[in-house]
Amino acid sequence: MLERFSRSARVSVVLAQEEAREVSSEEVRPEHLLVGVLKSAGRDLSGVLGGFGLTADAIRDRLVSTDRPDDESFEADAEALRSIGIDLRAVRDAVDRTFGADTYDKSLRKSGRRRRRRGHTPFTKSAKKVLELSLREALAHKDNWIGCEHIVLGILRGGDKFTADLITEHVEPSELRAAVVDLLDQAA
Amino acid sequence: MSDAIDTSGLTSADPAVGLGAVRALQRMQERLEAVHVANAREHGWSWQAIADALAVSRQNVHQKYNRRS
Repeated sequence: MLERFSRSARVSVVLAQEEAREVSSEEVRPEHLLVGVLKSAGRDLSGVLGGFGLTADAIRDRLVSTDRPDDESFEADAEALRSIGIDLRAVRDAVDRTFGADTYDKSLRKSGRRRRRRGHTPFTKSAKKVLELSLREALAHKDNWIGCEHIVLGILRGGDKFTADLITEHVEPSELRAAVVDLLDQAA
Repeated sequence: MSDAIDTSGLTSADPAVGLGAVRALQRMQERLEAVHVANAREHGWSWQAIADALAVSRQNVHQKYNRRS
């Protein structure tokens, strides 16, 4: 599928992977694709997106602040669980005694869940869906290439809640969609 | 471990306390699930058997934990 992507669309996918890594996400999610597209969009699309206040920096700020490092949350969780009678340290110790040191802390990685392979950050299902939908948007629009515009439409169509909320802070998704479709119509 | 645990969160009227405890519980659940799914796989359990034990669909477990593709 990638061979039909325009140069800037390809760049956006690479930047999305970098973005995910930078915020220590183990997966590339739709919001990372959004940042990628905001960074790599050409002049016209950038103009439309920027006009709504959608810039890479604006979205990145929100990603950084919602990022929650797992290890630091242990203390807070232990405190919270105390209030309902659960001793999280005892749980962690019991797990580590049975399955080996650090099993509890590394559980999400070791199990194959959300695994990260060296140098490669996998796309979540919803991020893959965004890319598939961008292809479909291109087909529906009878474009024989997939550009950043189509990826934006794919993100909107994909309906990932977190990403939709990030966008809605700046513009109604339907309005953004109309503006991007206009842009494609002008180019056609 | 012997010191009495404060269980005021069970009855606390402060939503922040109760919701915080639920979220922490959720994170603990995720981790325990991951540990035991991995253990079951090491013991040769099929995805179907694991799914049955967790009372979820096979697809659900498989997608969550088998990220090799």
